[in-house]
Amino acid sequence: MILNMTTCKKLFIGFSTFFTVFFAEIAINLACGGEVDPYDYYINYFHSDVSGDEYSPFFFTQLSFLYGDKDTHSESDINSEEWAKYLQVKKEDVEKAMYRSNDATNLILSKLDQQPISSLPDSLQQNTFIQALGKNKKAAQYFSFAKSCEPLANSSSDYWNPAPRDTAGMISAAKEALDLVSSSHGDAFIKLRYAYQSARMYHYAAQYQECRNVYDKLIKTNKTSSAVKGWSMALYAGATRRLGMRSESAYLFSKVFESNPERRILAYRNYYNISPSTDSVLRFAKNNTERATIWAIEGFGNPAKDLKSLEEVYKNDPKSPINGALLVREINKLEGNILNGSSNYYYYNSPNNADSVKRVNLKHLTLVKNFALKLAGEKKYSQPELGTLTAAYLSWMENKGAEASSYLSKLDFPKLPERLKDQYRITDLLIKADQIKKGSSFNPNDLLPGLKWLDQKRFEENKPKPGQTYDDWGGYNKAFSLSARNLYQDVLAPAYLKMGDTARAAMAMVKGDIRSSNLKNKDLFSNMGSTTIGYWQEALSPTTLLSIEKYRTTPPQDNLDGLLAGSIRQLNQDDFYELLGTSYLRTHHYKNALAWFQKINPKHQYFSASNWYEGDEGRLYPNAFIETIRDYPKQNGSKTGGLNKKTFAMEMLRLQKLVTSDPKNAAANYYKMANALYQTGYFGNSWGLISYSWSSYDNVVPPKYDYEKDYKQALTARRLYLKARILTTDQNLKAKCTFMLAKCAQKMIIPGKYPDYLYTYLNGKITYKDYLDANLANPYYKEFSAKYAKTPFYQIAQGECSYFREFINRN
Amino acid sequence: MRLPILLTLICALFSGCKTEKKPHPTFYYWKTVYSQNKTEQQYLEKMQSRSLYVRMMDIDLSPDGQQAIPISPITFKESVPQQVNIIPVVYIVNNILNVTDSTALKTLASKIAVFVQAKVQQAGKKDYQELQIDCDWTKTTKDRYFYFLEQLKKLPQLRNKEITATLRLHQVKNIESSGIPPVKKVMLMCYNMGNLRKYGPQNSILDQAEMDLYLKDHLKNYPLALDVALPLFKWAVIFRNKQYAGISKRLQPNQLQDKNMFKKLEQPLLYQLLVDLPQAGLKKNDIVRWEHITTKQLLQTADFLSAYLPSTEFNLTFYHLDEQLLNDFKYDDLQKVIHRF
Repeated sequence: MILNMTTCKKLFIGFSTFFTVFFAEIAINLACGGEVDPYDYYINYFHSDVSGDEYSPFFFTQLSFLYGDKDTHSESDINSEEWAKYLQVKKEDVEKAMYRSNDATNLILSKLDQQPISSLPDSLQQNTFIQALGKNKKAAQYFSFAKSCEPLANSSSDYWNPAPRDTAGMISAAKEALDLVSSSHGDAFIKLRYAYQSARMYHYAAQYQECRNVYDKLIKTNKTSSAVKGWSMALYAGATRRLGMRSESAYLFSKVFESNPERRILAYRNYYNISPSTDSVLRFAKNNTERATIWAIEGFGNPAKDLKSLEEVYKNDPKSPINGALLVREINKLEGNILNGSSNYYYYNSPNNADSVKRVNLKHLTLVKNFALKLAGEKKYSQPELGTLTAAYLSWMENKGAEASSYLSKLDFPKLPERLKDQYRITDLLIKADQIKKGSSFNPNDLLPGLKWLDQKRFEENKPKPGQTYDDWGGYNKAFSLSARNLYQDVLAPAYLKMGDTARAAMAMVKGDIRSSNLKNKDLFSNMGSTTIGYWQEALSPTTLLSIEKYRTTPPQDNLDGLLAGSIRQLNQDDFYELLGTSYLRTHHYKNALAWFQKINPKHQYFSASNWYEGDEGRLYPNAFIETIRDYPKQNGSKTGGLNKKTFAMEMLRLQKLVTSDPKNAAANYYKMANALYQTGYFGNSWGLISYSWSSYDNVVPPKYDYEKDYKQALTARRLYLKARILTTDQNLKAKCTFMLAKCAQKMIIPGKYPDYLYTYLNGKITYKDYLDANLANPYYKEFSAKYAKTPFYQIAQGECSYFREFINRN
Repeated sequence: MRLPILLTLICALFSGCKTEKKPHPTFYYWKTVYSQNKTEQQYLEKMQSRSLYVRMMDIDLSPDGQQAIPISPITFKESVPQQVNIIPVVYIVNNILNVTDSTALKTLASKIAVFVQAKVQQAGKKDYQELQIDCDWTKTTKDRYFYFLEQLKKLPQLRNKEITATLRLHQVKNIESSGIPPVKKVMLMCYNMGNLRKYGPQNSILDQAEMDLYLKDHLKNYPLALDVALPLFKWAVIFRNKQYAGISKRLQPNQLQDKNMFKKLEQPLLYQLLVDLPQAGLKKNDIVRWEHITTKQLLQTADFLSAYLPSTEFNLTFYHLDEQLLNDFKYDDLQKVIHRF
């Protein structure tokens, strides 16, 4: 809170506090990196892939259209396989020639049927597929034709590219393909492919009716079983759409979705591009499988609670793996709506924690649980155990641990498929972890095997890949890492905190962050996530840190404490000792602080404040032992003459000793200490001595941690100014103390309770005027005016502090 | 001996009443695919057309509304005949000028130049001499449009080419508010002059009363050189409950003569549909205003223009070169129109 105030500055303060609060919320949430990770924005324990990978592009994430945009099957793989079988050659050779050849090679291949194999380059001659084509004229002819269609099909999407789509060429190619169909007697394989090329060329040339005609006459009736039929169906569906028959088109795309996993995403995108009403598409469905597929697409595309789609799929096709995929989606949605924790980006700020919303979500949970039990009981689905496991997990979510355990006990663990086994283990861990509470007879060491197993799984996920140079902190493909983190930080740590065990809570936080068994950087804070860093740097008292030090230095034991302590033990101790020393600076126990600073390697780089906008250029050195009237501009120290944590501690210790050993000068020394402690506030130049961070909205957020007594409220400084004032006889010094007391008192006026400030401000409960009045009603101003108006300091203060002048003018 | 002198005097008198005009007949080519059509070729040859105005593309907003892009650019299935010069035409939707700032207009000019050059080469031509910009600019877009034309002129690849613009009737009359485009020559579009969307028997394509209103007092004084464009086209304007409902592209003119389908109304050009016609997108009781051009109308227009058009030598461009349209006009009819000037 700056002191110099003029009328327009009042307005500025009003606006700036308004805006800082308004944006503070967003700023805090985005503080650690900007965009929200679509794979890590809610608490997840029930992994998306528990029921299988078949529908992995459609796993749940609200923040992205698809979970992944690669199909589960490769088109080139499938086609190469078909050709390999047809010609009895190697699949890889087909793939190389068909899909991996460059432009120059493609040119040669487009004329393959017109030249002998011996004239080809070596690499092609040795390709078994090319060799086979050399012996099979019809196949070679088709292959060359297909290659010649490629330049027509691959046209540019740049609007300003003047080269036009060669629609005339396409139509001509389409017609040629039809002729070649006729001449391919008896070879259904080749005939189908010519027909496909024809339909394709017509489609790209916008000849949609012709495209459909080709499909109806030549492809629908072709007896070959081939993926090409599905690709042709996709073209047919697209042509149908362009001709205005949108619902039918969506239905046709749903058929492609079902039959061709290599074009499933394409079909899905087209379906949603059309955005038909479900009923209008269902009208075309001829059997249960088709109905199930349509409902599957609807379900996969629905980010909101949706049991209807799942029930319809189950009704029509209970065996289908889609049931599992949709069920897991519903579980994930419930996780996002019910589970609280620091990793839940939206929960933290959303009204989801309101009772009414909680009830709605729990109601849906019950419905999903009932469905899961039905799935398990009826045994129509291929993995009925998934249902029981779901029921167990959902029970855990409802805090019904006993019920959850009973569901788990119904499962025959050894017989479970691997992924269900993993999910069983996680659920079991969660149930057990909930039992860590005061008065519980539960032995926390029972968690050990499960936690060790979880470590294994997440270390595996984070094994650096060959050539990888960066640490991947994202959420994609890191389900075990995220679940482990969530378990440690959102279940274990809060459980320990509830029991008052801050040391174990702190260690659990770190344990949650360490994803890999092979740490490149062993610095303490480099291995913590932002929430953990905040907690460690702000919340830990000397007592807690001493406990952690004990765990850290105790020989490792094969128990839970050993596991938790192990995470700290592997990290460098200097940062830890600096934190310990700093925690003593905060409690003003300077001797203890120095003791820990002595243990630090002399080469260690202590934390130092810096101007965030200037980076390394903007290092701010403390200059604590100065007198100030105004807080701004801050009078920082110089690099060489500035203080550091050690020298600050030494000077404060010295002054502390002096006030008892030199009572005559006690007042002056108290005054000095008070000034120094004042400067360790966010408004001072030495906050870096007791805080690891500084923010421009610190004046708005009410204090939460112990050290904020100094950092935000100047309470110790105030106490010492009072002491100095009582002890001195010097009126001028009394005046100075009184003035500083006024400044200390002012720090107590925090505009409302964040984040309510914005609302109270708008509702007029704490108006800006009230806030100003509170400032001007500072009791020490009255005293200052009344008692010390004749002191030299009074004149100086009045001259420098316009806020005080304002006070005088008012009175 | 007296008769020849008398005749010469009479000829001199007549020639004094009217300045000798020399129109160069040519056509607009306004289709998105260029291919050589026998009838169309013949007309070009017979008329000895030296140039052909070929639409290259429209410029309008991309589907996402983010930038100005070429819409439906022409593709050349065949080359434009060797003896015919190509004059590329770019149609700019007026709204583009509302949403594009000067920096972007500068870039647009450059992109258009590059695009047109490529298209001209696709037409089988090495180069071209004149680029025509077609835009129905308004008072509010005038400054931007003129700026755009200036930028075109400044481009290195267009410096040795002539930039011309189209001119509509209202821009002749309202020369103050419309301004004079920074070009040396404009093409006066003598069509689409009436109110298309107003119900009534007027022919919105070509209407003498409109021409009188806009041009009679103003054309003579227009300060730029003028070419002329005349219409050959026709269309079916649909009205439903006397409200404009569009132009039907799937209505055949011979259907209008079918008394089971249409009833000719008393007012000229108007036909009432007696049945539903779904293939043409029409409903019973729709009114069709069959706007078309007759040779008589063209001759009348020629007479008018020859009296008021200040140009002596100019391009007389028919809109547009299409076999279906040409079949409505005998070659001799068009020659009559040309010679009327």
